[in-house]
Amino acid sequence: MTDLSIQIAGHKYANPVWLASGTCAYGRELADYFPLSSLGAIVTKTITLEPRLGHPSPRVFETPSGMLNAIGLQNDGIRDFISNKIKFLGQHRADLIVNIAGKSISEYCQLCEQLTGISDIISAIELNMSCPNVSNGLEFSKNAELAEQLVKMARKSTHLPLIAKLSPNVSNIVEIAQAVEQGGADAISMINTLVGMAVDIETFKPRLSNVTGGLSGPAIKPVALAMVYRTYQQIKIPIIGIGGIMNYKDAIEFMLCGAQAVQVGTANFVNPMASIEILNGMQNWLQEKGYDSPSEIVGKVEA
Amino acid sequence: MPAVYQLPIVSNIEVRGGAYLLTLEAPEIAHSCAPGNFIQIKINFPGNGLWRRPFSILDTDRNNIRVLYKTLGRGTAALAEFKAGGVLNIIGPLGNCFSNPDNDTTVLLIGGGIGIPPLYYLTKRLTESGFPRQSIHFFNGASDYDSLTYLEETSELGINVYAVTEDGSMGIKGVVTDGARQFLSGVDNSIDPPKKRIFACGPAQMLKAVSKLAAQFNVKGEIAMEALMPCGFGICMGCVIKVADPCSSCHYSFKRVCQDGPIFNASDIIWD
Ligand SMILES: Cc1cc2nc3c(=O)[nH]c(=O)nc-3n(C[C@H](O)[C@H](O)[C@H](O)COP(=O)(O)OP(=O)(O)OC[C@H]3O[C@@H](n4cnc5c(N)ncnc54)[C@H](O)[C@@H]3O)c2cc1C
Ligand SMILES: Cc1cc2nc3c(=O)[nH]c(=O)nc-3n(C[C@H](O)[C@H](O)[C@H](O)COP(=O)(O)O)c2cc1C
Ligand code: FES
Repeated sequence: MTDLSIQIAGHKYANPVWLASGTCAYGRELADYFPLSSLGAIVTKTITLEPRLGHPSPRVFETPSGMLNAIGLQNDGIRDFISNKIKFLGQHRADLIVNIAGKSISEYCQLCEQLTGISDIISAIELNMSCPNVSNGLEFSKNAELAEQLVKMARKSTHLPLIAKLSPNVSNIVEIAQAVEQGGADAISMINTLVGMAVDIETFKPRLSNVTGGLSGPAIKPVALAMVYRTYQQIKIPIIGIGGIMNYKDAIEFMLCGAQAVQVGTANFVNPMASIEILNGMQNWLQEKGYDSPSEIVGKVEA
Repeated sequence: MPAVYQLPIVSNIEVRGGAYLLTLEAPEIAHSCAPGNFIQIKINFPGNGLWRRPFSILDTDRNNIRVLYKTLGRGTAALAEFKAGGVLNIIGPLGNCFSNPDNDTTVLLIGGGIGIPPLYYLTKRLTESGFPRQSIHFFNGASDYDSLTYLEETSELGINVYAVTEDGSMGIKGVVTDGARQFLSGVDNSIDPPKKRIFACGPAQMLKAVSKLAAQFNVKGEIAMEALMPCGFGICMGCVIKVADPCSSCHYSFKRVCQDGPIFNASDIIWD
């Protein structure tokens, strides 16, 4: 039987299928459908220093093969996370990656320090450098110097592995990837959502209260694949592929383009069992093809 | 506990008011659901839509659940094409449910448009459990006689049913809250003090009017809200409404219609 386990930044994950930030909340709801510990890891919804209310409705809109969202990072803040939400996740023995965002480098560092205090139950921290739905949200991932600086400072604030989550809304994503590698990131996850918009032609109003939002789902998969592929050629740290993964074939495509692991996002909304089905499909595919480990196919696209 | 099911379609037929009645064989859901709960149906339709579509449970019997729906857009139009013998992928039961009124309460159900199903289910459960039928008053509103949904079926439950039409083609002329207001104004509040409850479901504007009415007559109201729902089981935060929240620094917060609702206390909702 193929051993699905993988190593990222010295940590062993049971398998390369993870849940993407903001698409599984804090695990509680999905635990009704399958044991969270079956997956490689779960990445929490972005957590900020102070609670955030988020944007008013409408926050979402369905588009061809995808959707727009502008949730606005609604969350109850790091204190509530540590005192209330972490307990449930700890009980479920799921590898836990905490996704964080700050308004400044100092906020990111404070978040990293607080999470270090509970590092026995956390496998890594994912830095959301790219949420397009809060003002300034794009800055850290748009500017290579700032991105490097952010990771460098976060690096000093914790011994936990750091995953830098990149935005596709930049002219050259490889440059940003190289900058965060330089800054000391242990891995890169890509991509976050693409900035998008939709308008109601009867009322002339945007479909989202925030006017623009982030596009996700199968519509963005080709964009994400190309970005993973290009980045893989230029960096050494592992890449976690994200963007429109709906089934195991999509996941394998990402791995062939250079992703060590994948995160399943929008697919969870349509089918709460999507990640488990992807995991089983991947296991069977690797087995049938005679691979001993998923890492054997990483970057093996014959371009 | 909700789960994903492949459910056989027992029937899917057009009924009065331009609505369709879908019967699904779903013993697990039929045994565990309650009035107010809904299901998410995966419908493949032209245009590559991803999301499931949410529908309230209309009622149940030993093995089946039923859904009453109107064709509004692409998904519901495609749903109407399904035939008996087919299969649908659904998630359910989802959401919270209406609370049970005490037996000595006067109950007002106020429904418009596609808001009738959860109210019908609640009424049916109440009458089956021995709740006095004469104390149940069901206001069924629509633009005109032809658009009234599930009117006869509701009357068959042996309760007081009031049709309310905007053009006056049947029953009371006006919007459905006008009918409820007339009723509440006619009740002598001194002899029959506050033991009244309102349950409502329908378009947002109607529910807003119901909330006002409930506040005006000092009646506790529970309303079933609607929202666009990418997931339906609480993981996306996409379906929120604004509700009063004493714990929040600005005295409100955004709650998920799918998981914290769809039933909310009328007085908690902040209508902008
Ligand atoms: C908890 C809940 C219970 C519901 N119960 C029922 C029910 O019992 N019977 C029934 O007929 N309908 C019910 N609805 C509404 C039903 O989900 C929508 O009519 C359906 O999603 C429309 O899908 P569509 O693909 O046909 O429309 P689309 O092509 O997606 O849109 C067409 C139009 O419908 C509007 N619309 C889309 N989704 C919704 C929605 N969720 N609520 C209101 N308007 C919407 C759009 O804004 C647009 O104007 C319920 C909705 C919720 C949230
Ligand atoms: C409703 C929604 C909320 C999201 N919230 C977050 C978030 O809080 N933090 C984050 O880093 N990414 C967030 N994302 C982005 C996803 O993690 C993922 O990067 C993106 O959706 C692309 O993957 P997908 O096409 O598989 O959904 C969110 C996406 C969606 C659809
Ligand atoms: S529809 Fe996703 S949280 Fe309610």
